Amino acid sequence: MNIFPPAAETEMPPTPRLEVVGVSKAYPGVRALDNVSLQLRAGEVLALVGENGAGKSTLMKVLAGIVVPDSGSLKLEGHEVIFRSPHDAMQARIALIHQELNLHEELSVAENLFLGREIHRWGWADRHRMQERAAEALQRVGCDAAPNASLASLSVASRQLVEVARAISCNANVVIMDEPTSSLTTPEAENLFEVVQALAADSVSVIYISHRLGEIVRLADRVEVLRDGRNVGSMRGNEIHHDAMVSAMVGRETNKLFDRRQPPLGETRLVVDSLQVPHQATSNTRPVSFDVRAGEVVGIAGLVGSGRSELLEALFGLREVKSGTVRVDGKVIPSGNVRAAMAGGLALVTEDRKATGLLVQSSVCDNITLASLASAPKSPWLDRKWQSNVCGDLIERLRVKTASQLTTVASLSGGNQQKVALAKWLMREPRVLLLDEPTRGVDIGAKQEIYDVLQQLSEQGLAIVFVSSEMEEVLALADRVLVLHEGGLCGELSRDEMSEEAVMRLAVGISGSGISTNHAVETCN
Amino acid sequence: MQLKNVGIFVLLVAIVVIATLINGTFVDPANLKTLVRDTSLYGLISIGVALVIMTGGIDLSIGSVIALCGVMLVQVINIRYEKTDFETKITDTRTEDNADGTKRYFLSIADSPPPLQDGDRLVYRSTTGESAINLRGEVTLENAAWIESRDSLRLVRPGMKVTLSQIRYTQPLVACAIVLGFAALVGLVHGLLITKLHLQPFVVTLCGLLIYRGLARVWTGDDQVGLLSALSSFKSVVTGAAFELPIPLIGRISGANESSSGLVWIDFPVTGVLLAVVALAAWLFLGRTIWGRYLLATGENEQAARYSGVPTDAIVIFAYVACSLLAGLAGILFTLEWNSVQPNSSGSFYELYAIAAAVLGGCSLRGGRGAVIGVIAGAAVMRCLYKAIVVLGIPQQWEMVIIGAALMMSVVVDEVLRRYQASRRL
Repeated sequence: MNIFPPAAETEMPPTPRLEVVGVSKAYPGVRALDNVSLQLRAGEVLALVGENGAGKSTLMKVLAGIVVPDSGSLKLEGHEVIFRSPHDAMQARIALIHQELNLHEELSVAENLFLGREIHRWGWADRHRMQERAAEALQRVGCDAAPNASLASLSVASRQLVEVARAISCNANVVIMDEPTSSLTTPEAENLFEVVQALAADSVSVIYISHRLGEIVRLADRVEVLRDGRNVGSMRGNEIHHDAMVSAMVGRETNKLFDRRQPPLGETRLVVDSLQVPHQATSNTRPVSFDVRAGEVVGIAGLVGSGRSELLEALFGLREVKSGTVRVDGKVIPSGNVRAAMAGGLALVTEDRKATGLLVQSSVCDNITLASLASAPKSPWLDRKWQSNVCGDLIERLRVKTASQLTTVASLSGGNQQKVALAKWLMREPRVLLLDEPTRGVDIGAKQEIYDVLQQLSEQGLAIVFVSSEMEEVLALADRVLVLHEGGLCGELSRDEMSEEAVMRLAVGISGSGISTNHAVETCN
Repeated sequence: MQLKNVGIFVLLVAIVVIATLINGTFVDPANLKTLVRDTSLYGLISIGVALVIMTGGIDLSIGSVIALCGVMLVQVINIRYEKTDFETKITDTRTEDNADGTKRYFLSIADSPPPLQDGDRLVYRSTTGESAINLRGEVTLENAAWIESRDSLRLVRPGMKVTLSQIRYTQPLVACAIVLGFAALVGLVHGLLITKLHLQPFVVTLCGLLIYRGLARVWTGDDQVGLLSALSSFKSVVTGAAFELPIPLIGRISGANESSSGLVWIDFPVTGVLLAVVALAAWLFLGRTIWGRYLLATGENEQAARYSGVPTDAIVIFAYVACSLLAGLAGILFTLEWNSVQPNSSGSFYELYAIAAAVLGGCSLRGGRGAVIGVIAGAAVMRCLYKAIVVLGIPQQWEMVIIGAALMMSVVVDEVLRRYQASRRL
């Protein structure tokens, strides 16, 4: 029995079910959405693609009532609506399935399905009816979990289906899926595709966000491409293929951020040999091998979730590896031990400076010296004179703008905080510097200064490996780019081969060079 | 942090001044002496828990550790054993008449004996079986060493073989070492459970609070246990005065012992010296060594510290070991003060007093913040409040209300000041 009547006519109805008209949303320093429009018809699967930071997530949050846009409007069946909260969106029968699932592990499947809208009789939960209704919904999405099973006992794939079941049991007629297959195995993903197709056949409209272009070719009736918060392309039917999507995603005019001058390279500093880092998407990632020479700057690119940060963390001993070795200057670095990695000459400037990079309530000087205290001249005694000397040097060298060495880091700007995080590691005079998002949340002036420092360091013979989600940064800074896809190395590009399109093709898993067609694509899987 | 340290001293001075203005006996020498002693005892456990709080943890087991260590001290010291490994021959006896007509008996033996005490005995074989001479101890008569006996020496002949029998108890210092070793082990277990199994400090030490209190009660059958009178010399050293401290004016204010200069000498207790030593060590550790920096870094942001190569697990374990060790030391000192331990009540709530002193002294329960000098001032504030309640004749029932209100006020003032500063910075 279907809750939704099948579409009465085969022709598209004249009014779209959901229409986004000229929506904009700005955050400090970024225009996340810039006059974005799209239309969604009943029973249609619309895929939304774009690079990291293209605005997909913000758009989804607008549709789900989590983010209120600065301007523009939403129309539901031709009538303008305003969502001020997720509740409003739910009332309008729009359901968002988050990438990180929004379920409660300690509750049962049925309790999760009806959380916040429990069926009750005089205030007493009607468990029997909820379980019945849950069983129906689960059956529709092909999930064999029992309604009274605890969610914690379910696999990620089953949880995904529970989320879908929750959406349809809310009578949602627009279901938004954000990277639904990112942690599913191939057969599990196949099952999900069938569910999506069944929903569409039931006249439910689906907005499908994925980095996996193969899935989109297979599922989507229509594709909308976003770039820098704008609509940049739309395709339907047999216009949908890998190359068209990739070139639409990356086709931006490039203005050079930085003029990298590669110094003469020295001896090989870092050798990574068949390193396998556990990755959430696939149980068996392809091993990663590469090496970096003194003076070289190597960029690591890839989409969100491709295992870039995990790779750096594994090199720095923050993560156990399955197999493979890391050598610095020929010496093997034992895995899973930060102090051994530091002793071996590695340093890591982490991605999230507030959580893992800095002690924000402590002073600039305390932060800069923290990683070097054990090797200070008078260790284990604190030598304040030594501290203020070395901090003074680094503050000057990196042009950190701070009132004094004793200022708390929290009161500095993002760019200066990042310089403090960098200074902490430069103080150790590392052999190999690893940077994860070296200029995230940093203003343009400080960005240039950080690039200048990295240029100088490479001229002094430091080997540098950095991860960045900003394509311009990768292209401007790297002598060589390694592109990861689902935890494994999909390809490597020299400075001459580097282009946004080339990087993006590897990032979405197309390994073959030359023109590929829709039907014959060499992939990295 | 600086401001808060000043604040706690202002509060301390205010309490002393107000209490003294209302009733001058607040500063009489006897009162000051107990104030210093109590502040020292509570100060020791407060420094311990402050180290744990600075790592972002908590230790709720302190009061129970105090009780269990007290019981352990008494029980270990009370272990009684007999030493009979000294054999020798009697060489001579003599009897002397006292003026009142009673007699004193002396004997000498072939070898020089181990130190003798009243109650030791010399055992010999006689026709009726085994007999013994009860001794008083060694004396010197006419420049020679003799042993005085309680019993007449009629049956004793020179040349007789005797065995020395001595009843002994555990040496107090050995007992203290055992107790401190146990306390350190308790802290080590807490630290390992918290760092290696990632259990929450609150839960681990709450279990400790129940378990150690329970063990103290089981061990003693819930009966009060008391110190031996034989321990009095050790006790009087530890609880006695280390030196005398001259304090001006208090003689005149308190109305007691008025001298021409107004200078009164008060006893400064050995416990006070112990606190000074521990506080100095903790202050050096926190402010002058890299480990102190590591400890505060771990408390502020464990992950960032670990990512910078700080051995965070070792630091956290150290803090719990130090905390339990200081609680064990306090357990010994409290037991010597009390003379006995009541297993079901001694030390109850002391962890809360210690935590309160640490918070008053500027430690944040979020970790990463605190200073030793503030913590001692916090402990002093708590003891002065308590003493003021006694001296001013306020009913004892009000004690917890007043201490609780003072703590509440201090955190409210701290928060208000912090917001005011933050709003001015913007």
